[in-house]
Amino acid sequence: MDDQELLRIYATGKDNFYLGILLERYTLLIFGVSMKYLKNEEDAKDAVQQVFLKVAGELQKYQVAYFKSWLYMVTRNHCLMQLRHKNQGRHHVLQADMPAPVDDLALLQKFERETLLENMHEALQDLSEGQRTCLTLFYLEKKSYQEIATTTGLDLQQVKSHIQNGKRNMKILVLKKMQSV
Amino acid sequence: MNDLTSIWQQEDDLTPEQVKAYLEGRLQGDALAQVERIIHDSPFIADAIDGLKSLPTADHLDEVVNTLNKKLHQQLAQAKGKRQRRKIPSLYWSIIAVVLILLLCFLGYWIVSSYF
Repeated sequence: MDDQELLRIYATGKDNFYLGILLERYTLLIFGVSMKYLKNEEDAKDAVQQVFLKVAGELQKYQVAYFKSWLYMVTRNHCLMQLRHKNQGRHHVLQADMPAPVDDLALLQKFERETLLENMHEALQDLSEGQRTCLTLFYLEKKSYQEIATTTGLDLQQVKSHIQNGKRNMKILVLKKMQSV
Repeated sequence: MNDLTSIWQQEDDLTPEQVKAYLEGRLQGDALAQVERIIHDSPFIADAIDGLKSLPTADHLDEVVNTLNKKLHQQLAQAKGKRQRRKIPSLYWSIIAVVLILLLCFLGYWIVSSYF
């Protein structure tokens, strides 16, 4: 049973059994994110429990369309609030670290598959050689970071950076091409 | 060669076993590449892996998760109990209100039929 199905059953009957099953799937991830921001195991464990409580409360009041993304936002916001309470005045530094929201899937669904594929092939050719090679090896040939680093002679950080930037640039190029049609 | 659109498709989530194996450096080849793609494409998983890497060891991760899950179920059971307890007083007052209204109706009928 997927997350949305569990969420739907919970919304219908408000039976906490289903909410428990749903949240259990994310305990490790919530704990990991809490560790990243709070840097302390006991604080992270407390944060997990507080996030569980918050989620249970919010789901009583609202419907959530994309549970996983929403849960990530709730967890991150909770951790940032904890940090703000601890370090007043330093939160602007932390906000700069926040990753941008991902809407790749929405982009993918917006266009016809064939048109999208064609534009992506063109955009791939427009990328820098490093980005093109790393994206091709990572997504099409399914190679690990280390294998790509060995093949290309780049270091691991450069490989990750090429994949990240290549993906972002490709999205920009494809959107430009789609808009110009 | 795989489809280029896989760049924007989300792969499945990681299992706790995959996370542990990745953190302990036990993955290689295709298994490692698959986990790296999933981490790269999900900010939630990427943040979690960053955080879990800061633990001195991944040995006790199962224990931490099991304890947190037990507490989760306790929290949810308590919340359910509270909701049920809240329902009982409201039902109690509804019954009293209905009985009082019936009594007033009966009293009114009795007064009207006795004196007029």
